[in-house]
Amino acid sequence: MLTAGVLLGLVMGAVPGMGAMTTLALVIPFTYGWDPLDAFLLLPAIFGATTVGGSVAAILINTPGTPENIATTLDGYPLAKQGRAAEALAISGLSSLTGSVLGLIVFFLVIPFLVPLSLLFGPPEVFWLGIFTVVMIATVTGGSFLMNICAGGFGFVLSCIGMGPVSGVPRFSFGISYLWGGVELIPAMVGAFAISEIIKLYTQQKGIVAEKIEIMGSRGKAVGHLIRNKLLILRSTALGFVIGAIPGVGGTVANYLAYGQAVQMAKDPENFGKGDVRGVIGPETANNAKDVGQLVPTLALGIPGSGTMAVFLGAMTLHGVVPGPFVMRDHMDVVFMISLTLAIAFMLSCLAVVFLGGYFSRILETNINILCVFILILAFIATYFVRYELLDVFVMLIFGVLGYITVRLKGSPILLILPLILGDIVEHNFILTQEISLGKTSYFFSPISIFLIILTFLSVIFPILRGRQRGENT
Amino acid sequence: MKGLRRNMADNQLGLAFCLFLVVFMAVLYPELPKLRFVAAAVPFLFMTLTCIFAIVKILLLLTQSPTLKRLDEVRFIRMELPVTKEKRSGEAENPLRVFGFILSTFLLLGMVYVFGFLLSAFLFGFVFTYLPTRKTVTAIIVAVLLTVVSHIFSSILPGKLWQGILFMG
Repeated sequence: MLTAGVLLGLVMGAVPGMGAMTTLALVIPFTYGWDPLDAFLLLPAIFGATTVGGSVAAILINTPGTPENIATTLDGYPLAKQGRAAEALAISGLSSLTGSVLGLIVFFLVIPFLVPLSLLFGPPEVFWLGIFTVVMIATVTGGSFLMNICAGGFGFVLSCIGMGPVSGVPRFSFGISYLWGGVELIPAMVGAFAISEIIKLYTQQKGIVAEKIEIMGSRGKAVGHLIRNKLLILRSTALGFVIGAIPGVGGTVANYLAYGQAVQMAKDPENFGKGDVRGVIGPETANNAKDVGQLVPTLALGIPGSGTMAVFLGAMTLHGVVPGPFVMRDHMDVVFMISLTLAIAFMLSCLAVVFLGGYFSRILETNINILCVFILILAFIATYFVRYELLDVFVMLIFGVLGYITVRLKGSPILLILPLILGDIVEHNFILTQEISLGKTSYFFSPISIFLIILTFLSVIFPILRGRQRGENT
Repeated sequence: MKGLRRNMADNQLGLAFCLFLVVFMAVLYPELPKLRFVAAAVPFLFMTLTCIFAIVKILLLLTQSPTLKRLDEVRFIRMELPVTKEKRSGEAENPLRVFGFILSTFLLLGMVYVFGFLLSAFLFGFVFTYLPTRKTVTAIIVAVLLTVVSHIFSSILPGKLWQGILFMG
């Protein structure tokens, strides 16, 4: 299962435009009905391997397989053009492996501090945490803040369709029995992440392969490069882990910041961009450390560290693990399962890139038309098989269009789906708080709740003030 | 007035989407009084917030007001990333091609409803590959592979694929 996940992740990661989010959205429906631990063996393996696979395309064709590998192109491709493609792939694979192992060590050290944190959260805190999550994601995903908030609000309203979580009253169903159960998460997720991506991939397609590169160079030299740059590896790991732990910031930032610090700390920055190994080591180490760092807010608070993690939260919900502060308390087995699977997946995928990277280059020659047809049919089948309901496929297509429009309007489809995952939790905790408080509004404003409310406001007001200050200064 | 018209023409998709949100909420509002407070409170909160922000976005798209623009550009981390190949190709996106693709996905759903999964996968795979390439053999190979993959999935996963209303009887 794990090996299958790694292979799938590597292949999908290597195809520019696909990536972990789309792959996970496509695979999750197939895991419906599986034992949760089996599912948590496959899914982390996929998202762990996708980032590693993305570096192959970045190095060999100067187009990142996933956005998280974008900075790797700057020095990876020039290295490949110099006839050092095998060396660049080996450096990328080993850096990724080092980053992930170090990241996991930090993660295991952090876990004991995260468990007591979950005990501080009651219904009002969970309610405010849900609100904070959506507003925070709207401000950190970039693009249009208003569009993100609109998408988030729309997502929350859609999550209210169907039976209320406590009241059991059907809402906004307009007499359509299909809507009594609410908007199904899987069709929505497959639509917003996979179908919208296929629309983008199909309509933006151009010949991907710029220049065919022979896989040459010595893999053995890679180990020497890594030993010589151990400080860079440590710095990039710390940076990647911290960036990953900040919800919603995403891998592109980690990748670029790691590249930036590698350039800034170098004595000979002029060599960067011309095929410097440090330009591959820094971003790739940070990339995988970021993947592990993302687990901290996702598992400890239910705040997705990235789009991929938002999809992963959906998978957790599907398999009965309710996202939120209580995962660390109630499902420690799942947390360890995910961490260990990630560790093994990273190891397998990094070794695959080191030794088989050249074979993955053939995937890059895939015809986009054919790829789109296959993924489209797979998405249809995946969505249909969850409940044997053809209307789910219709919902998937609607969400595909909505997701695509959101992206076109500089919004993020994550904001459309996240409320569908958190909506029930937020509403349930709102009602619980109201019932426990016996009408006292003060119960909604515990010290942690007030802290979360302040954070929510600050996440909007702080960037505005900073922007105004910057404007005055210029 | 000219500026307003130009802004409307430039932001048709954004205006249409935000108007859709406002209209959608307006359709849902009359449902709220029929519900108990516990069932109506949270939807009311989010519907109102969505409406307010959609209206603000509409105002921004129509007026291009600098104040609203500042609000729209709120983000925690500001980073200028170099334009990637992907983004460059995104600029050349053809609306007709997008519409055509979306339409074809809905047509596929219609085909699945009528002919079932397997036949639809074959037909869709053939047409989708043949039209841009004009290579009959490639199109047939893709179509057959697609049908086989669909069939394999139905045998791996429990249950049958939708057979289509034509073949149900």
